[in-house]
Amino acid sequence: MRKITKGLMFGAVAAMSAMSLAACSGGGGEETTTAGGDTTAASQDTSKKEMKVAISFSNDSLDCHKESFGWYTQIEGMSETLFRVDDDSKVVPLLAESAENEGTLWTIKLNDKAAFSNGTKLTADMVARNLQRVGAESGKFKAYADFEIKAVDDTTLTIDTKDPYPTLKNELSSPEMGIMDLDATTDFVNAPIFTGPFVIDKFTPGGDVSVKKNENYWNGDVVLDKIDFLYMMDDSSKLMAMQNGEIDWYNSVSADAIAIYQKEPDKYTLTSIPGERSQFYFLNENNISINVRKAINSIVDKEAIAKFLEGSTSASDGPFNPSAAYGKVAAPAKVDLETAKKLMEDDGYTLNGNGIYEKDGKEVNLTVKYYEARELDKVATLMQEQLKAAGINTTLKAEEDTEGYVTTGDYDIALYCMITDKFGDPYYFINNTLADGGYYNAGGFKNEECQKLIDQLKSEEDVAKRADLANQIVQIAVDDAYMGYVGLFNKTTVAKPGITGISADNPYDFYGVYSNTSF
Amino acid sequence: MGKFIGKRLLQLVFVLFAVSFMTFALMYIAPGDPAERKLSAQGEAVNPEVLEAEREKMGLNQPFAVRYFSWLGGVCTGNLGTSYVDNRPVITKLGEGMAYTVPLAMSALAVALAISLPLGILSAVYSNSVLDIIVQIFSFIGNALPNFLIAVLLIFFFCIQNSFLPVIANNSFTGLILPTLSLAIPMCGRFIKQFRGEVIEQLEKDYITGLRVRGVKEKKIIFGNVLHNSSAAIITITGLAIGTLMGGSVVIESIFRWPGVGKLVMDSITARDYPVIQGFVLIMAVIYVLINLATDILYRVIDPRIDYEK
Repeated sequence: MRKITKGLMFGAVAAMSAMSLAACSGGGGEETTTAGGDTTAASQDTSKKEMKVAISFSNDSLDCHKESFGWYTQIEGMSETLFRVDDDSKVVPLLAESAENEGTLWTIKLNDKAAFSNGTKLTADMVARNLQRVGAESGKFKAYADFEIKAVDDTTLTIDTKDPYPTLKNELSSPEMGIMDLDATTDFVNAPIFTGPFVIDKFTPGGDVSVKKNENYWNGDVVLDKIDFLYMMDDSSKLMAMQNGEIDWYNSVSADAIAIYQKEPDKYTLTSIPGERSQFYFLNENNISINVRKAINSIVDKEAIAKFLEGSTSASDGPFNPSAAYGKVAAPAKVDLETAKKLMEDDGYTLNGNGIYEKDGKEVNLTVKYYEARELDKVATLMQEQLKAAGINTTLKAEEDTEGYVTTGDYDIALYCMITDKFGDPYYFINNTLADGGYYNAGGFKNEECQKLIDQLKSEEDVAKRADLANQIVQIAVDDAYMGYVGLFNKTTVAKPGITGISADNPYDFYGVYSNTSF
Repeated sequence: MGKFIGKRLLQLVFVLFAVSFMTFALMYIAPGDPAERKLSAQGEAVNPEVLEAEREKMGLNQPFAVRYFSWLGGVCTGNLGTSYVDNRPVITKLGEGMAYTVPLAMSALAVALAISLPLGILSAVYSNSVLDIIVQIFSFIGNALPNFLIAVLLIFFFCIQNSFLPVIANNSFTGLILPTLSLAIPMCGRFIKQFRGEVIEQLEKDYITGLRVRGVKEKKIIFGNVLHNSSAAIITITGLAIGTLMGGSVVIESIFRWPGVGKLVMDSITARDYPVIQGFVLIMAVIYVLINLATDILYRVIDPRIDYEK
């Protein structure tokens, strides 16, 4: 019996020891880490010329004209556009030098230094063919298929939009408008040639991406030799990899991780700015009276919600980033429980013994629909608590179909999250949510004055006037209590101290690394 | 035996047909529009005209029967369709995922068996002893802890506290260690309990008493008789574990960045990438049926008295 015991014990212990030894000796592999856990070979053995970045998304293709793949190729420093949106939401030249328009005709002058990573000079003909390809490949930009796009000379092209199109310059800064060398390769999925500071080194569809320095970069020196973008979905893995010094920076930092990083400011640089994704709600005008809508907007305390969400959102008065000229709401909804009470009473409601408003013997109960992402579930629960405390009962309903409830108007209150500013202009969001027939305007909002302003916004070319119009339009919807704005998702980036030249201060999600990105 | 295998393979066709129909029907009635998900992947507003064109392009406007039989026709010729997300063949994507899931599943199973088989037998042989209690506590803890918690604890110990391993595990041998342990530990908890129970059941049988009375050595009884007679149950338990492991572990694969099928399917569910989900379910059904068949064949090999043809 003793022999059996010994044999079996040996077997089990040997198996466990083998795994433990393998685990303990694993550090001798390619990803060496040093004792102490705060540094690794990852970035320091290469004289700080190689960077590792965690990303929460994965590319399935590098063809920037298709789907949203251009977001990733631009974040990863490979693709560039004719214009770019700066930190203040202003459109500034990149591959292009200028864009002028007369009526429906736009004349775009290219930067004559611009060139692809293979050394080929960027020509107007190549840009024209790229824009035509975007029109053919991307549903979002199918209007470009109808535009007349012509190269005038090597560095000048014209685009006849046929109808006034004041946002053309903004659209040309969309990541889907990245410029590729269409003649150098046909393998746009795996090995496209771009103009950016980095070129593809290793691409795994649905996985990691490695880029290396573009030795022929047209716009100055590229500091780093190599950047690995590591696809890491799990927040705790990103946190631990950062703590272990195995990644140099990442964004979309979770609230839990923010709290941990904040405790060690010497080791981590946290940057948090309001982004371009807004959490807001529609109040269905077909189901809810103006007084009740206004009362709801006077009850919902967005500051308290933002505080609860611990840094993942910033409370906002409107749909746009307040740093933008079109992000100014002159008279936002404010928390005022007394006003809310008066509005409800003026509407014929009285508080019953349960502390809930009722009318004609029926308690008020509104359905709040939302989908379970982007913290909307938490926002819905917090709104429910706040409304209940003020006498308005709500029933929460999580929707599987993330769009259906908003676009069909099947709600009392529809909580939603979307990008409100795609490329430094307010028209896209306003047209979708407030214009007559707007796809997301399904809650009965119809305002003649507002529509008139939206029509003006559609064709207005002056940037300052556009901002003014947008601010007026948003104010009308706020005054009508058709929408309530909760917060803007923060773009939170954590980096090792000393890292510069990353997109931490730019509110748009589609920027990442640049030629001057360094340690 | 040949007739039995033939019959089971024929049954497989019906099983696959039923599974494919049910999966397709469930995907069809499930809320959420794949075209909408695709166009609003970044959180942008969707243009209704573009959405309609995308639905048409993806064939989502066709009636259920047309879509199902068109897909089934493809399946019959080995074509599981193309992914809605990146238009790559489903079979390629699943193959890429399986290339990671299979080594992880097999290593986790090997470790789990190597630990739990000896401990399960020891625990049974010395039931109610201190050793048995210790092993059972280990088994209980392994069973009670969810694998994501084990994963985080392992990372904390091996990577953060002691720097033995990197948190970012490239798809190498060292990268396989922690996911293997994270999957194997909870499995050990279950296996030890099941193996112990099976061995105790055998040890209590009359033939064991008879063998002991006749002076047969304990070593021979345990390894020659008890283990042999318990092997059918052990094979069943192991077979079921293989089936579960081959489905991939979404949590473990996500934590350790292991690009297996679990993560692929989770991404596909989020994106409503129905062709990938359907292909995955179909492949899993095949794997389950084949594992069951292999288990039945092994029963016969172990115990020739079993006659499936009767």
